[in-house]
Amino acid sequence: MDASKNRIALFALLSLACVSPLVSAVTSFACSETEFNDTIMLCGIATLSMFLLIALTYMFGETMQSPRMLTWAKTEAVQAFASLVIASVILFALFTMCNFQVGEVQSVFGLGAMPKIYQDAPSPYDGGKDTIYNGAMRYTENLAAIALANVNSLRYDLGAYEIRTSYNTFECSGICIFSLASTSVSYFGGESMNLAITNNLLGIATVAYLSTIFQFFTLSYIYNGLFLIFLPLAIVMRSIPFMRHFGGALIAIFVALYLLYPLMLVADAYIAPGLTAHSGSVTLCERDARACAGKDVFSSGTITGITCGLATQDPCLGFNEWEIEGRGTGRASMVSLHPNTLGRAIGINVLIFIAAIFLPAINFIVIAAFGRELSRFLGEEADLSRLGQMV
Amino acid sequence: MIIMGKNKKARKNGAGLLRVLLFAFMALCFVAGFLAAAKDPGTGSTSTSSNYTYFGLALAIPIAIVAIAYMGSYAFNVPSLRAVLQDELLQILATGAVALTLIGTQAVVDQYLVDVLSAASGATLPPAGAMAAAQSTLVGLRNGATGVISNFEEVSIQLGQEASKGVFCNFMGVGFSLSNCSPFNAYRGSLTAAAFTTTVALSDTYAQEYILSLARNFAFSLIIPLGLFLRCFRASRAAGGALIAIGFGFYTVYPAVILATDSLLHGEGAPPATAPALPLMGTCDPMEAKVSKSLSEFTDYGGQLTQYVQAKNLAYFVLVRVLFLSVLNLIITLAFIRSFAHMIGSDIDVSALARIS
Repeated sequence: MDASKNRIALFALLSLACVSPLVSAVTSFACSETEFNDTIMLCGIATLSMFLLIALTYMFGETMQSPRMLTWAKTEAVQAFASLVIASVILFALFTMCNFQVGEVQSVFGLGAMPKIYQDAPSPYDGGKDTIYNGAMRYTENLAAIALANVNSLRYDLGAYEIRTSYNTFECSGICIFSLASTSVSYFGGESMNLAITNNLLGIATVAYLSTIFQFFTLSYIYNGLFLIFLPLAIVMRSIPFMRHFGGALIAIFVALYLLYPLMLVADAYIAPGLTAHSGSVTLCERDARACAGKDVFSSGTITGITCGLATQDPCLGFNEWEIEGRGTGRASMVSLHPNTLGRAIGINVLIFIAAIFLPAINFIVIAAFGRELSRFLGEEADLSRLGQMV
Repeated sequence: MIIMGKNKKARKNGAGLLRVLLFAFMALCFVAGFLAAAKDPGTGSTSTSSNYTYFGLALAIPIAIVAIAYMGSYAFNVPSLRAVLQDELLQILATGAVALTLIGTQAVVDQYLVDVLSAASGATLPPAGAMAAAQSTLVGLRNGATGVISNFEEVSIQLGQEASKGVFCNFMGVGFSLSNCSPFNAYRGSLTAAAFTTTVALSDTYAQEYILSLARNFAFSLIIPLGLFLRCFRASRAAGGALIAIGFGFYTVYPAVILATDSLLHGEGAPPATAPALPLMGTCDPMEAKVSKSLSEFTDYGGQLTQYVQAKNLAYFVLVRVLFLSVLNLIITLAFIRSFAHMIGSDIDVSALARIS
């Protein structure tokens, strides 16, 4: 029986010996995060404190000949060891994530092309050299940019419709010199229908933009607060006898959000261009002089998801949104405002809605399923499904 | 003696399980050969199965990990670990069986369903598979909805222009105004409401097109292989199951449901004809002094706008064929995804996805 236990202990020790060099490798790479070393140190302090407590308990147990204390110390030593293994595995996963480049997803899954946002990223990240974390951030930034460009475009359309619908002319009918008799006509009055629909579209576009911004800041929080505070806290909790289940749940939440969420966002970056691959490109009219920043989210290889229509070119003739002021002096001036057609505006709006709301909803379903299963595996079941309601 | 007997029984059970595993593994290897003959999803062509290579890879990696751990369990004599690993191996084989089922179902849907629906509905559907046929159907619906909105836009602009006409006159300091055409404004509210509904319908067809396009490109090349890989490990089994169900649901079931609901809406009966375009109103004379004439123009145009055939055909196309069916398609697909995910070991809440409808 003792021999069997010794073998198990040897196996566990060897496993730990295998993963521990990876931990030291993490400290040297650390995704360029200076906080990483502090976190490792905190984890180390937590582990050492726990082992110290166990050693003291064991010594007291021997001194006082208390079998209860001895049993407790032995049990906790195994659990502390388990916590150490879990922490090592997490750090190994972090190490992998920090070294895995987004461009490698293409070769791993044999995909035809890399998303343009990764292919044309600024040097030295061009050609897919972003880490998973940078890649996730780059995707949300670009998605937020294109969502904002869409909001700007719709805001311009709304302004143009407002000006046009309020335009009224008094047409002289021959004898107006004597009687001031004239016919009043609102040539664009009927566009109040377009105004109402565009208003609705702007509401949807704003929701999509807010959802993207929410994801951007969630990611910022995950990269900073969650990593700095949550992981050491989770490991400490996992090592404390009566908080072990809670600690397991915290570790599961950490793994789900810190490891899986960025991975899912990178997967989204890869699949987003596929949204228009078979349905054709859509045109977004540029109204903010930023050349439809972020439009590359929907482009990869030969796919161009969004075509940027400049204000000087058909079919997006018109102005930048700040140039709309003072354009209400004549009928020709009204015509020159050129709001986008409803069909095009709806097409681009739905595309951004799918990327900003539908895909994150899938992400959170997968993350919730993963987090629940992992937390059950580590101790206490944590329900992460509520996260999906944030989208 | 009793302990020895128990050990013997346990060994016998273990050997039985191993035999079952071996049989399952061999059966899987045997049917995996059919993959080479399967059509490549996305292109529809019989290919070198580049996508399916990743199916195999997603299963080979976990098998290698389990095999190494199994050897470790012998090296360090940990029988409890062996039992866990046998269970894990069974799960990997089950995942392999799921992969084969997905490919087989996809092949059946592509090769037979389109023909069956064509025969049942009397319509001619494109022969290039369910996905292409569904996309073609959606393009038709999108063009129809875009046409309706353009027509509404045209009518609304002209109606607004004519209804805004009024006459103002000032004589000897006394002003008169005559808004003879303003009654036509009464139609604008309803027109805007109808346009709103059509806008939602158009948005739905766009959303369906984008989702299909996404599934066509990445379901079998990224989402399902990733799901198969994750499903092979205990901690990520639920997440893997969710990805497999979502990928398969949107690649295979969704287009099949789109085709089925649209084709079978009328069975072999002819669907209502396309709604005639709403008529533009004529020119309104704001100086018309006879109230009876203005009233007659108003009621005549109202009659044209609210013709029974017009309203019926528009309601059929926008409300039933586009809006109702899009919601129905999504509900059926999400119900399938939930059930399928449950079947392969993942209990997911798909209600968040229903928000798109």
